[in-house]
Amino acid sequence: MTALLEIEDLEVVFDGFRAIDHLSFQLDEGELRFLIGPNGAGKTTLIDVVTGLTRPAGGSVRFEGTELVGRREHEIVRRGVGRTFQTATVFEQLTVQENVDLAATFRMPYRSLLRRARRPAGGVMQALATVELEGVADRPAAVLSHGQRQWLELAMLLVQQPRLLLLDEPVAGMTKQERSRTGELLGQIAKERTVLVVEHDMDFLRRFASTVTVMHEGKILCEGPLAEVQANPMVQEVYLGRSERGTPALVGAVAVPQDPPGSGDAAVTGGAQAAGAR
Amino acid sequence: MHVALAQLVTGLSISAVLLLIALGLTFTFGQMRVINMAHGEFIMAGAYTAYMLQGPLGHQSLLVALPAAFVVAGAIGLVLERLLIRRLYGRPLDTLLVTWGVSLLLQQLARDLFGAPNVEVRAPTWLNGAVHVAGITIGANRLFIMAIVAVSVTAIWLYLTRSPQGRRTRAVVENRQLAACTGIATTTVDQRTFFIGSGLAGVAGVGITLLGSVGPTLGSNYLIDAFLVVVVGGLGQLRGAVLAAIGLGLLRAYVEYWSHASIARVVVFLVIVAFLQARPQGLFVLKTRSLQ
Repeated sequence: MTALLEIEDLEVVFDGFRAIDHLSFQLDEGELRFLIGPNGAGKTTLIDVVTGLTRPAGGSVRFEGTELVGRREHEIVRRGVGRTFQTATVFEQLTVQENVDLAATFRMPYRSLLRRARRPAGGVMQALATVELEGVADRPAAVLSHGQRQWLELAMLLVQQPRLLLLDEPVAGMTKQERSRTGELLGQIAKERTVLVVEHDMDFLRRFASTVTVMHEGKILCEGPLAEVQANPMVQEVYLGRSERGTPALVGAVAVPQDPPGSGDAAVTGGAQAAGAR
Repeated sequence: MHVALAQLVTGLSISAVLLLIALGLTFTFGQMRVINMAHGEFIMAGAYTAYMLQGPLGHQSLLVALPAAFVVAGAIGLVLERLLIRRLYGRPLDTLLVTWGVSLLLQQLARDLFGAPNVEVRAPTWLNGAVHVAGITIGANRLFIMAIVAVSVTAIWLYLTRSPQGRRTRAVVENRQLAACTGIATTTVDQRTFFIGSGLAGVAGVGITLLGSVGPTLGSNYLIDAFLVVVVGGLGQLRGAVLAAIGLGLLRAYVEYWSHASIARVVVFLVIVAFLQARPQGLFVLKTRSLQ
């Protein structure tokens, strides 16, 4: 197997705080990988570095053998790396269809854009149908519910046909039905692509028999099948700290500290907080 | 009744001028949040473009000057953006000071090129007359300015809402990070937005030649009014700028009739201060997450 994404000796420093500490990480073609870890572990920062939003202090990120560090965000997207944001971010001023259309035309040269100004680009309606948002295609994205926004983000990604998807907490703040629908969607998506999912929701993780990577304080703590990771005493230590609550297993501990939507930036910058201190 | 109607027309005429000079700022200040003190000099550059073209092109040169001034002022704006402003994004105070310096430089450059005394741009003969409707007289030049404004506003509105480029501009304004991660080349969008905003200042400069003579400080005289219209309207809001220009223009016209020009200006400023105390965000608000 060849690694689609290869991260080597990565280092990210925010004002003296080491958000990512000499981290190395590999993701193989076709893999569905979950990335978990307490608040401030550096999960979102890792995604930010891969997508070009954050410049690392050192190390390399190679996608299909090409170095991504130093490239601009839109160049990275055009190479086939798509992402969603923790807070379900869409363009609220535009309609649902315009959002997807904007994403769909991301590679198109100037001239073809002028020609097809009024008609939606190919695949837009199909992507909307996949996430069941055709009914609200002409409404402004501002009226969407939180769950629908997450799906719109997914549709915007799907229409770009990325080789690698980075999903930052795709079920955070969703209702139970919405979660299971997202699970189905993710199952479909992961069949054809390589996907890295940051997610805390244990029920959601259990649906997919995939490898889990645990991050802690900017480093990779361990990696392996879910059951193995859950049994790892180091992981339990990280999630529970020296808690006297006596929660017996990771399952309980991980399900509780779900970041509320909007805590993403705080999780990155305020990451020095000790795990389990909440 | 007749007086009220006459002042209404005068007011709308003032509004048209206000809006004309503010349109460019709705792009560079409204959309991009760049406080460009040299914007007035783009207006001046547009006016001098009209002046330069009337020699070789004669009486109808004004019609050619409109698109030419758009390109000239737009190009100056683009150079300024590339050389200076893009290095200062997110630093409003530095941008203000640097562009003020550029403004002084450009004024001196105009003095060196065209001389310190004001010059005249001759309007085409068909703009010298006046139109009489229902006992009210309005100058053809004023009507022409209203027409330029109407065409410009329509074009901007179509650009922002109907064209993919305009959609990208709105996307970048709303959320720069998301736009970049959606594959939009944000720097290209910035350049284009700045070009259009500066170009519109050039168009305004041509329009203003119909109202008086052209001098190196022509633009800076109008700059404060332009910023006020954009701030009162709400940043980045085209309809806000339109309503603000109409409101301020009418206010000035009616107060001017009952008192005189200086009092009218004072009253307009006081009303703006009071309005912004109550509603600092302007008439309309654009909700955005990230402004860098």
